[in-house]
Amino acid sequence: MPELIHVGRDEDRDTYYLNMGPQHPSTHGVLRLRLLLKGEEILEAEPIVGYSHRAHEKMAENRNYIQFLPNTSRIDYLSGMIYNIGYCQAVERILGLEVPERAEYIRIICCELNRISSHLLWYGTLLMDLGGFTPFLYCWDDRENILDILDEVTGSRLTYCYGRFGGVTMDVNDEFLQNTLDFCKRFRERLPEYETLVTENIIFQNRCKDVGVFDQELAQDFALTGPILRAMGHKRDVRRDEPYGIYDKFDFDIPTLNGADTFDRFLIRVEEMHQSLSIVEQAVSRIPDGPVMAPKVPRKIKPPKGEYYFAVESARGHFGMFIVSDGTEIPYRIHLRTPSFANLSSLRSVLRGTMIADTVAILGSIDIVLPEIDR
Amino acid sequence: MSTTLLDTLRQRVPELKTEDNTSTPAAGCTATHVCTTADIPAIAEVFKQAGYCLEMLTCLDMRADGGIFRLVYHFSRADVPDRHRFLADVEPGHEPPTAALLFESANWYEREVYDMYGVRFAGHPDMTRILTEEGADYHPLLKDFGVAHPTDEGNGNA
Repeated sequence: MPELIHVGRDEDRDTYYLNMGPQHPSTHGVLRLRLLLKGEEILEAEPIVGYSHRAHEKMAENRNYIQFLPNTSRIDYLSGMIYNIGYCQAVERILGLEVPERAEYIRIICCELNRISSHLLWYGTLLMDLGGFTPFLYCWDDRENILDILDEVTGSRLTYCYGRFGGVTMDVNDEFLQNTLDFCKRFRERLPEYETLVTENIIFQNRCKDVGVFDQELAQDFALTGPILRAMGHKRDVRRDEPYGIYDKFDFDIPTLNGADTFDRFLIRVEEMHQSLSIVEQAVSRIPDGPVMAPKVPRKIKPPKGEYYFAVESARGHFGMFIVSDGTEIPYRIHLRTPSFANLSSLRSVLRGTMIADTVAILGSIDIVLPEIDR
Repeated sequence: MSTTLLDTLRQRVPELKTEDNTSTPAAGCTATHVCTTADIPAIAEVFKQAGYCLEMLTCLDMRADGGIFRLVYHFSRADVPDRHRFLADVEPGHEPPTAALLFESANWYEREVYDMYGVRFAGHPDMTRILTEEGADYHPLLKDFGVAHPTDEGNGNA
């Protein structure tokens, strides 16, 4: 942390500290950025986190595996479904539980819809941070459709608790599948509109191109994952590298770009929405009939003693669960390796030397969710 | 598992105990290694040069079982999936050497470990709390902090 001694010196009259946040509409949660500025140039930036620390990891040590289920979707509330299902899959892998095929397909449909809704919220708020209000309304409109579809089957709109060890709580009906297909059709028609409205907009391009370029060595230094890493040319995606569920049965691309700037991170996420749509359509067209819960799930979940790790690809990157069991019903330790934590810490390096007006664009393009950083 | 990497590792850290995990998918890593905290800088250097990143670092409170804290490091690659887990025991009161000088990501991870467990890292550039409030006098993830009140069901009484 730089000392305050710079401030007030005659030769440094333009150097001063500025606090951005913790209550600031563009920090997307309770994040405080301590910026050392010289005029409008950022000399040092220090993200200060922890304002929404709720001790999820401590809670995990106070309840059994089933009781921790509702916590998972509250860690990253935008990828709630992915986290909830991911936690189920982690425990299932430890126990060696087989999940019925229909449940696997339902999980994929729900997770990918959740990924699109998370990207839509990011899209809308990034544009709003940059001064464009209309795209926000477009995104909210489409996101609302997804929330309605998921609401129908899970009973909640944001903090889902749909997964169970061995399957999902409820079967989906034909109406759900038809609504999903309708959404895909509608959203495919809307995406070109997004393109003409935003992507081709010269003002937006000028705000984003060559802004917040990540140096290649940051990827290794900060253990970056997710769309940020893919915008740096690394073809990494947990769904492909360490397939979980039935992702290996689906045909989808991992988009990559090499610019590593704000605009490339934007394009990567837009392309990921296309890919998720394609996964959803494949899943709906191939979904088999059958049960949605495994027939024999132990009533008491007691994983054998040991250390386990399981990772899923959330909308923001590599979400890992490190589970330590001492052979009892209560986890000895669950550590949550959240993508935003590592990604946000890189902000120190990326903001150095940029202009203050670009802060919201860069921060927005990293796509952080504070509750998953603070946990 | 790349053999050259393991050879380099063994040269730098001869007393490393390695367990192969390729046949147990639930472990989620290629191999688990047991080392001492003094070896961590050498290990981090090997992985840094091999292009790995420090994906995760956390701690376990094992004071009830051996009187130690156990640090858990995960190194993984940015191009092909390959994950190595390192377990290093720390006596309470001892300061393990930092990995933050080699991996920037360790900076926040180690601050989190300090915040949650009170384990300080020697040589860390900014050994302050990260998630809880400044000046707090507790370390929440210690097993004896806020003694657990498992619910009836969790207690096995259901």
